[in-house]
Amino acid sequence: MRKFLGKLGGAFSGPHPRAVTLFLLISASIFLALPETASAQIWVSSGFKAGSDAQHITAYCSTSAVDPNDSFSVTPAATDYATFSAQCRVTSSTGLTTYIPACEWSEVQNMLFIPNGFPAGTPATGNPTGICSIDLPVVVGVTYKVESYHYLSFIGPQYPCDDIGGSIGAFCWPDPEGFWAQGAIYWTPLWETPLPGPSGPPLAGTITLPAYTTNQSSIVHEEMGSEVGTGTNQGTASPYSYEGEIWFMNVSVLGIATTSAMYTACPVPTITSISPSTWPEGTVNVVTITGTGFTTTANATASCSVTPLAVGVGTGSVSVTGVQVDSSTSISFIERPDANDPTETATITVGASPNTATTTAQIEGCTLPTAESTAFKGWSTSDPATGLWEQTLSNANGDSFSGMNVLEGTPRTSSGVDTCWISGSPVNYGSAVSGGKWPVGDDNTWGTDSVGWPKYPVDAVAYYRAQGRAPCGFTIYQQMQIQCTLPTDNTFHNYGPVNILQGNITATTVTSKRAGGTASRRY
Amino acid sequence: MTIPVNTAAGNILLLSSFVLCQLVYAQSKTIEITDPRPVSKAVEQVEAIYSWPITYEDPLSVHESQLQDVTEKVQRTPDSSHRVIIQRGGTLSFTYKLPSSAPLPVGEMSQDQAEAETAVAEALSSILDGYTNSGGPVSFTVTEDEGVFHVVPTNFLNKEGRIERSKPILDTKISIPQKRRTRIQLLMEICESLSKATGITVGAGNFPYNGGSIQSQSITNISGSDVAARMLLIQLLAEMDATMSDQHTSWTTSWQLLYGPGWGYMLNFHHVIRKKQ
Repeated sequence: MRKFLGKLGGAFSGPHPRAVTLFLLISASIFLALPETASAQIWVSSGFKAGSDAQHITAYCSTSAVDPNDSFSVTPAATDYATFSAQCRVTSSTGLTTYIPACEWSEVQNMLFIPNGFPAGTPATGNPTGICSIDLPVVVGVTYKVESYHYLSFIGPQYPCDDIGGSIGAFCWPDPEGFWAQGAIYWTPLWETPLPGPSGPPLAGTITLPAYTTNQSSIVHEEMGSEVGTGTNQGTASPYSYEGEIWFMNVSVLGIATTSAMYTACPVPTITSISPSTWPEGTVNVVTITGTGFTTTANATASCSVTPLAVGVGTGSVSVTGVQVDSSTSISFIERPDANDPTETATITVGASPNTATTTAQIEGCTLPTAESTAFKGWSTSDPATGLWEQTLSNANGDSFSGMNVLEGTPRTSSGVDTCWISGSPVNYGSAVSGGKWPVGDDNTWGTDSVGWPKYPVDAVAYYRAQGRAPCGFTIYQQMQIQCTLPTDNTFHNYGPVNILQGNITATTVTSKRAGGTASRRY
Repeated sequence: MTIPVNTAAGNILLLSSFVLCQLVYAQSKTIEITDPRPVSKAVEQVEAIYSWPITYEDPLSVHESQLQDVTEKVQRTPDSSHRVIIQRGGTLSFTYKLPSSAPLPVGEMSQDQAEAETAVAEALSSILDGYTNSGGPVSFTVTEDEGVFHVVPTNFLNKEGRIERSKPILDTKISIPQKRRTRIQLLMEICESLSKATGITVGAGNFPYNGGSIQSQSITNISGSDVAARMLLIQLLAEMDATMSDQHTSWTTSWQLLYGPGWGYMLNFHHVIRKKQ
């Protein structure tokens, strides 16, 4: 039993505006002294969310003292009220109205002055949250509307109001952490069968609840007059306050808001074909997807947007522009795989989760080697200071590169060094590869690549030794490329790392180096 | 050698043994070059600026006034029994018109071909004027054949110090008999025939194409009787360039025939690559 520390106000059996006013002023001072109470909030929401499967959508309504953005944040409202309750119904555009069984509320029996009352049902009540929901079939073209009422019930037990100076024969419930400037002594729903609400003209004190159209939570401030009506015309409610506690007479249930939301079932897309289904790398294509259930701009609604399209690939990338839903059976867009995209599958998805459809296209890229081994094959017979190197191409898939051409080039970012050269030399400074082009053989080999100094008919080694330049040599950088053999791409693509090529001269030897391989001889 | 083109006015670059000095004007630049082969170096610059193939041939350098001993400067292993002799060279300045989208990236043509061709011709004329104005003792001339410019000497200073008329080495007529041979073998035969015909060794310095590659090892049927070596060389290189070119890029092989005092001539090849428009 709560111990009352004092009394304020006298007994009265009906509306008593002056007493109420005095009570509000005093309560307001208490309210200001308790900012945590002042900030208490209640969230009300109704809407639709993903259903149990792609063929269903879930309508729900909720009244809660839990911040939907922070499930650990429970406001003081949770301790102020006994339960948070919600009641909703769903109306279909086909004319059918569904009352959510879980939302039928049994606490109606606690309400007074409500004719007939509400039928008992599964309470959609709880603390800190009262929520109920129902799965509905997704029917293309059908729109659902969920409408909800949100309620509070005060902490019990009830007391005869005359115990605390109120009306004799009435009952009072405490509102210990704050109060509502409610004027309704009952809630206001006027729904009819199967949840018969109060009928007849609104009773004195009926207030208009704030209405929200939302698929998200709306905040109802537990603050007098801020959100819940005007606070005027308290009707027959007779609050009493003892040390900050507020007592509502005769009513334990308080309507605080209504919400509603709409959902239109979007068409479920299907795909029957895509053209073209092969996308060569580096080329621009206009692609058309044929199917059903695509939503055009003209047919789009707030809850059923234009059918989106996305393209996903593995290692490469594809730019997609100009997506256009031409009709309910056709979507077109422009795609361009990167110039160096490998051969791989692109997945095209249309629609939004959970109603999506996918198809695939093949990105046709160059088959490129990823590695090249180098083997010394001896010295040139015509140029004995030049080493001959044979290369073998490979990649992880073990692809054949037979018949393709490889080309050597000098990377733009690397310039070679020739320490043998002197200004005035008749042999040009050796800073770049000469630009060889080789076919790849059946065994994925190519070559030979000559690295060294020419001899015939003028011996460059002898020339530089005679100039007193030895030991010296050149270091040049080589970027290998391989020629694509696609119908749409016959350009050369870099492969492998930049190779270092060297030809060194000493007084008695020459050395040829390529990509880590080294061969020396007396010369 | 790659020579950076600097656009800053009055900037002076010291590179190896030559000096580049560029002055920027509204539509043209003036470059000053100091090098043992100032004409060759200037031609190299113009070729890079316009991506236009220009071949160059050294005059014979045999008179002592044209030679310098750089033994002490360049020998890493001192050998007093062998002196390192190179051309004395000199300084020249020349002016060229800025390409329409200067500086042109090497390998790209962004202006009208005819306009570029005219600009190249004017730049080459400026080079030769600059050489003459700097007191260059010999004369050069410029010819053009199928879009390729050739800068060749018309005389040289003989050992007695007298100007002697001469024709370019590559104008020497040689005979290459009909025979199946690789392209690289043909190049060697051209050099050998030239050496025999002129009495001056002519060899390949920087090898034109890699020894085992398609363009050097393919069989060629090029031959000729009593024809200028230049024509055979042009035919050979055209054949090899066709192997490298495709619908995206055009490869042209250019050369520098450089004279090494006491050693003879060496053919040095390089590519001029243009993107096709």
